[in-house]
Amino acid sequence: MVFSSIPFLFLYFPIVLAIYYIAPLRWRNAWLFAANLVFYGWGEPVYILLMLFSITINYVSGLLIEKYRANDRLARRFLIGNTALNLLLLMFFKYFDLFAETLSLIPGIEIAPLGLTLPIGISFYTFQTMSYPIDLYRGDSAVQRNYISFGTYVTLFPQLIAGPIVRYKDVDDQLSYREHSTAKFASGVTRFLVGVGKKVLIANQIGQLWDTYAVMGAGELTMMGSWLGIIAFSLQIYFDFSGYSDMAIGLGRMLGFEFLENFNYPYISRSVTEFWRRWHMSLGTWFRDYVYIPLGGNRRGMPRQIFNILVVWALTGFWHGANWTFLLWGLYYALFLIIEKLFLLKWLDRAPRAVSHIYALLIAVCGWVLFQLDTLPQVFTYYAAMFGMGGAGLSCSADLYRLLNYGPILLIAVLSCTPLGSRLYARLPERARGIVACALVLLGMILSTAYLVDATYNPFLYFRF
Amino acid sequence: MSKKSQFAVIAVFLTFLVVFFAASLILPDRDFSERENRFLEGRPKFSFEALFSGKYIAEYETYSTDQFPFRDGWITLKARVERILGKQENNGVYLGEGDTLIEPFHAPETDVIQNNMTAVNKLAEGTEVPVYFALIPGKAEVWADRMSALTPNDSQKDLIDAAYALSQAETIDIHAALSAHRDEALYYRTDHHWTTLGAYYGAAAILDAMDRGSTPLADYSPRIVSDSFYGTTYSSSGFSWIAPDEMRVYVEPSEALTITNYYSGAPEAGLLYDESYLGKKDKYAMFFGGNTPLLTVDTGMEGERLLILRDSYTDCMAPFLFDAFSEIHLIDLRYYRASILQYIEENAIDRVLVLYNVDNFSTDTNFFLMGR
Repeated sequence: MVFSSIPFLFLYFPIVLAIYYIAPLRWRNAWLFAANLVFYGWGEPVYILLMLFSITINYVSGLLIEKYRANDRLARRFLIGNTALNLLLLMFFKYFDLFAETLSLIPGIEIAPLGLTLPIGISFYTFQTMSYPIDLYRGDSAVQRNYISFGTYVTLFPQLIAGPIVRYKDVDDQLSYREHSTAKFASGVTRFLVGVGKKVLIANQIGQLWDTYAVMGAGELTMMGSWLGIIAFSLQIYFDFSGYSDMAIGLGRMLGFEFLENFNYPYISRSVTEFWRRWHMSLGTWFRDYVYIPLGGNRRGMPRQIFNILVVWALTGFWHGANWTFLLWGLYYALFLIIEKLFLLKWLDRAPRAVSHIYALLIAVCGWVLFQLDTLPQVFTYYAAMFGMGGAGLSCSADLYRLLNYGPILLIAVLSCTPLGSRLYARLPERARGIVACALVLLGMILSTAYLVDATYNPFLYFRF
Repeated sequence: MSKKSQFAVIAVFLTFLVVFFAASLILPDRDFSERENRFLEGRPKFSFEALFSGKYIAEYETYSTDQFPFRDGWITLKARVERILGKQENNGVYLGEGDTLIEPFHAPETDVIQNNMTAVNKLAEGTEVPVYFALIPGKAEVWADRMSALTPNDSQKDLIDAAYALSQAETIDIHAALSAHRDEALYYRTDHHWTTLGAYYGAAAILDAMDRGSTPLADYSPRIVSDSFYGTTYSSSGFSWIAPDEMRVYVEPSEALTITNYYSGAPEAGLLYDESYLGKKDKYAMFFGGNTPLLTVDTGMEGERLLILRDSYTDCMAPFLFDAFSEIHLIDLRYYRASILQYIEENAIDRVLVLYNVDNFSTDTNFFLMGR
């Protein structure tokens, strides 16, 4: 199920919320666990079993690590075994076909692809479950003996499908006790609606513009068109993904949970380094804590640090999808991060603000071409068009038509990428803020409902990651 | 935020959810949407098989969206907001000058034209009788100036020229006939069809090409049969505030007219105008009672027998040909499967006309049946 859908908003969520608050405190986790499984099963009934399996092995590993804590060698083995098992599941379900197809390119090797559908959210929940035994082993969190509580954490529907990736240590306490308050619930409501609006009113609409350009061949794609298309995609993916995180955080608050932030206005960055501190922060944190720092981070000299950056970014890229282009996309960022680390960051600091902003945006926008198009020939065709070597000319009247038609929504989207809105809101007098919040909540619900009812167009981008 | 505002925000949110949650449960499901001219999804049947294949869930999503309370109102609201945001199109329909709803034209691959023309030529070669070929441009062509000049809208004239260049049948220039009157109400604003007036100009061009005289327009006294016609373009657009079209008939049925409709395969007495459709959504179907595989008209006049291989544009055009032929046979290849060459032979047809709207010509996959 996705949040931005009629069945979620007007059937599933009201029921889950009502019973959650009617139920006595000690039953609430169990109710959430059950509700989470329905939420997950809505899309992939069969893969519930896979998820329960994943929950169980991580739960049991946790108990074993705790039990044999005194014997570090044994505890370590359990941890390594568990981590390997998790990664194996992810490899098998997500990457098997890619590996099979790639190996089959070698003469004499023939591996048939399995054609399995990717279990929804497996990339997210595998990373979440894996974090628990690691945190436990490191002493960063306590053991969880209650299977229901652990299951509730793994399957928690707000962040199950598309993050943020919540590390176990960040919600450990909240699983046994969490505060429910009017202030928290109200902030959850506003946050949720910000997310719904981003997804339904902006991402889905702008996505249609990108769809037009994504399928164009070399002969059709003009220079202006290619830029318009990829800028549309840059906005679409930000509003889609960050909107989903906003919804997750908002829903979490309504249920008493507090998740960490996942996005912080990435497009106002002045360097690639800064961009990745503002984009999908929970993934960055995960790789920092569980890969980069264990590899030695920046404490073993520059050559080793460069190596570490390459490893982390190859993995980050590859995590985004079972296609070699994602690996390239990760290495593309590694390249810029290394250059910035070596000297560019110092220059950017001293450069005029406009220059550093344009630089960071340009890298991000050009990166999305590599990210979103499936094959390298498509990627090169697109880059060629962007840099005036496409052969379809500078622009055509259809580009102007689309620019005019999408102009207002693009402008709204661009402004919404900056903290402008929240600054204006903060400037309002206390009394006005309440009224404005109510009005925006109502307006957001009405407009989103209208667009959802109308929409036959409601794909969810991060579903298959 | 103050405590009071917090309560207010929560109240607004929960009330909205609960009201529509309850309304969905209480309000009865609708079978059919007049606005959208389609059957709405009903409550899906539950089975474990359907659940595990994902079918149940997909159907449930469509069901709950299709049956959402006040669906039509929400769709209108979305269309309004799109207009406010400067969009000229909604759901692929352009809202042009004079409240004209236009679906811009997208040219098909060139092999579609080639294949269809091969079929037309096969027919022309396969029979002794003269074969005529005519393409009717849509309003996206004739009324292109009602949209912004930037609108992506392929030329239908180019397509017609390309098709005619390949034709071994004698071609008829409907495009010129309509373009000469482009300021008149040639098409419905809310439907893709031409109006009866547009059909008159088309018929005049056809009669002219066949060396038959046509009746001057002034000799007709048109009658308005409906002032509340909303067509297909309207249905897909969401622009619900647009005024409806008027529908007129020019030719009244004479005593001598006999119509036989093979709607179900067997001959039945047919109607020229089935006015019962005027009370329904699909008002255009009042011409001859809508789509049918085969329909024959015995006009009661002296003259030749004409066969038209056609789409629905012919429905409101055919009456203008009644004075010039003794029999008119209408065949729709989407539903008629028997041999055309044999039909020509058996019914002693004197002339054949292949008459299609450009949109249907570009998408129809039944042309190959023509030469058989």
